[in-house]
Amino acid sequence: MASVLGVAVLLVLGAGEWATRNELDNQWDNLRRSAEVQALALRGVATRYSYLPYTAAQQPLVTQLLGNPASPQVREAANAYLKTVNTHAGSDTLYVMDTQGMTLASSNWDTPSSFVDQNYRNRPYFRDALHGSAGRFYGVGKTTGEPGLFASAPVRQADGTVIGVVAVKVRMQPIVDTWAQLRDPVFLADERGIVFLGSVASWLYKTTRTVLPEAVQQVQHDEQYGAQWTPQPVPWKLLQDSEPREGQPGKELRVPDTGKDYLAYEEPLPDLGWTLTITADSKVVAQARQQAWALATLASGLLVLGALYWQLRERRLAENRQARIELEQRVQERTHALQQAQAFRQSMEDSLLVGMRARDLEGRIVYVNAAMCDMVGYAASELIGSVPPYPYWHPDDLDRHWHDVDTVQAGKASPQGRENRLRHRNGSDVHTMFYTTRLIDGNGHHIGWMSSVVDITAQKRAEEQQQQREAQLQRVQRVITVGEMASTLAHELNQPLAALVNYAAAAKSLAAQGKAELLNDTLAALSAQALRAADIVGRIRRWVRQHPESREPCDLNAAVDQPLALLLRAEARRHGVAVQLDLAPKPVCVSADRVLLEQVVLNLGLNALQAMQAMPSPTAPRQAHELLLRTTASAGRASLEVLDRGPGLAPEIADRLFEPFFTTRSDGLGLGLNICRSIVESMGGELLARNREGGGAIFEIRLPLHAVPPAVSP
Amino acid sequence: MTEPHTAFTSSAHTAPLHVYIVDDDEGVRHSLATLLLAGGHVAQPFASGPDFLAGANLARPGCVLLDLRMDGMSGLQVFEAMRERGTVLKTVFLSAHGELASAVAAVKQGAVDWLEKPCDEATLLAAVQRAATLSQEVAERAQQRTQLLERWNALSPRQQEVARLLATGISSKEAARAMAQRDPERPIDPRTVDTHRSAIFLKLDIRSSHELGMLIQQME
Repeated sequence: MASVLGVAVLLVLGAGEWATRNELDNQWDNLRRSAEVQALALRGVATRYSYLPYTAAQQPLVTQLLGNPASPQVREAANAYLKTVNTHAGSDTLYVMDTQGMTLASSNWDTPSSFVDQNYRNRPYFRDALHGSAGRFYGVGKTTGEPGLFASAPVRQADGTVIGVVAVKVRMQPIVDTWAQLRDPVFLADERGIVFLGSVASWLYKTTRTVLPEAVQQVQHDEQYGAQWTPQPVPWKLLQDSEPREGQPGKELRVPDTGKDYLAYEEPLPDLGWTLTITADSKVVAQARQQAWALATLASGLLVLGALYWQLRERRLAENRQARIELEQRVQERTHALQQAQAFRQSMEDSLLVGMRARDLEGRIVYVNAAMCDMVGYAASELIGSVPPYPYWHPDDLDRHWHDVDTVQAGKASPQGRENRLRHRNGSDVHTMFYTTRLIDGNGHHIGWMSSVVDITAQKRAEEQQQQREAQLQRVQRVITVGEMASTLAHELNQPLAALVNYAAAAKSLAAQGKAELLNDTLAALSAQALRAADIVGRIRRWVRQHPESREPCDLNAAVDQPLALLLRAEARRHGVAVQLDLAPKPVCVSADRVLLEQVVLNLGLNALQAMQAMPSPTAPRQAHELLLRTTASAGRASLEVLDRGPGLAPEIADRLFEPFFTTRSDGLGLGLNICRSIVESMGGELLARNREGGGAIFEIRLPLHAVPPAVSP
Repeated sequence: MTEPHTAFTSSAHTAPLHVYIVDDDEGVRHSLATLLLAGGHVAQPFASGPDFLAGANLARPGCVLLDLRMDGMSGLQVFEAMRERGTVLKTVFLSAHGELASAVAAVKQGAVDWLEKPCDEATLLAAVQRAATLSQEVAERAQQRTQLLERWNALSPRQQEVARLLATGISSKEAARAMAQRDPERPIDPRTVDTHRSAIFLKLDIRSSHELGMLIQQME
């Protein structure tokens, strides 16, 4: 700012200086031009009539007059002539003097201020002319008191002798009058520095510089400026500049009385011996300077104001810019934060395995996340905007879905969630849990519902599989129980049998030794072991009979499927036997213990496989070894048949088939079929065996048909 | 009760057999004991493996009737424990129906035989007899070996070294050269070898190098 102020001050000063100089130059130019004009006018006036005396001097009448001054006719003629010429030429007075300076004739001879008989011997112009040269002189008229310019010329005889002088007086008043029109003083000084003509009357005949005493005497002698003239200085001073500036052609003129300063331009007129001084009020310059100062100050003020304004504006702009940058930065940070948050939210939503679904109050879906889309197989664009019924509603559960919608909209959604079955786009079922809460916007208004959806299909399936596995395991365990039972039976029965044999041998030995007492004891122990064996067999029968309570309606077809799936098919494959099924088209419903029934079927199937293995028929191809399972229902009776292509039943075997401990196999215990029959009989049915046409055996389970079809198919 | 193989020990023919019975079934256990007692043998029944291992004298020759399937310690585990303790008792396994695989494995591990319950008296007694005889032989061999080792250990290390060389049938000279080659710092004179030989024959109660060779073979 200081620099601006400095610049402003410099500007003001410079402007003043520049204006001053410019105005000065202008003024000086004006003055110079004016001076030239005035000088030209002066010269014109001064020289216009200089020829007149010379011309008049050539007039013979003048010479005649000078030769004969006393002749009145000549005088009259001369006066008339002079008057005529003077009038013609426009000069003031034209007159002729003799060598003594006495005026002999004059153009104004008939006026009261006639020059005739006046002596102008002391006038310089007379002296000059008398000495043979043209004279020129400005002075105050001795006769008239009026100043004027006097020009003279000698009148010569034929031999050249000067016999008189002709002079003409020209009034300078017209020029002075034109000067008076000028605003500022104009004056003319003679070679001595005495002002003799000017627009300011009070300055007339005052000296501009010191006049030497001889000069003063001369002027007084000449009565150039009147008889009473004494030297008095002009009431002003010319100021000499301490540093005269270049291009300053004049000086400054100060008038202390009026306090005015003038520029004074001096135009020397060497041919006339005068110096013309033309002035101009320097107030103009001062005014110009002041104007310039004012303008410059104004301009500087404006400049400073402008600078201030600019500075303020810059500062404000800078502040604005800073603010904008900060704002932008904040916006950017905020945007970044938002983007981060958005990205975070997005990845969170995408990573969620839980489906998210938002609905408005009308139930229109307004948002779903990726997990939800995956869960039901529809794109977000397909789901958003849809209203109930939604495309993923399970067609079998529509009532349930509508009910859920009503429940939720009534605000009664359970916080524990609601299990829902959905239909995936690919047709598969999706089991889900829906947890629904109110969707509240930023202003706290309730605008809809937000649901999180958990896919529990896998869990559901796992549960089902677990149940199936458990059921299967149970079955397998019970199947194993039968096998294990046989082994246990073998062991358990073998113990008393072994003891029996031992006791018998011991008894024989003791009998031989005649040890009666010991023999008795041994026989008692022997019979105890026999009873024990019987008890074991009875226990098996009781175990089989323990199960009638668990009878339930079940499907014979299922009783075929299960053992097949469990063991039989694998076993058949191991034996290279094809399993054929001939099942009744509808479920064959009986009342039975399903597990035991399956075990019977399994047992019969395994028997059949073993029977076929025991008889590798060379004639029949391998595929003749087939195992056929058949179910039928007729006349209130259900039938399940197991058919093989084994050796069949020999007549002696057929009768004893179901007896305990009867077996055709070397490692058989002979309990399987017996137990099987007990099981079937316990269910109110019977187990039959017969030969099959074309070879092989048929074992048939017959059970009464159950009236009511099973509620749930296993 | 006449057995065809009685050549090994004539004394075992009439002597009563000592039989351990290990079975958790009281009926089997008791009936077996009755049968053996009726035959004039000594029967000592045990209801479980641990009882038997704690109560039986495993060093005395005899036979063990060992049930394969028992609660707690199985027959095979008991058999394994016996082997670990270095018994001279010989085992006959008793197995129930369907335990063929276990029984075979047991025999491979050194059981004398296995019997499937129920079995007849002759088979049982034959198996027991054979086991008892084998047990007796083992016990005798073990005793001989123990006596032999006692005598062998009475030899000095140098004498043992000389004895091993002489057992191969070489002369005293050859033995001395071989020992000098083996250990040049301790050369030995053939006469010194002769001296050792006399001492060895005396201590081991033998008369020839051939006998010495057989003895060392027996020992190893």
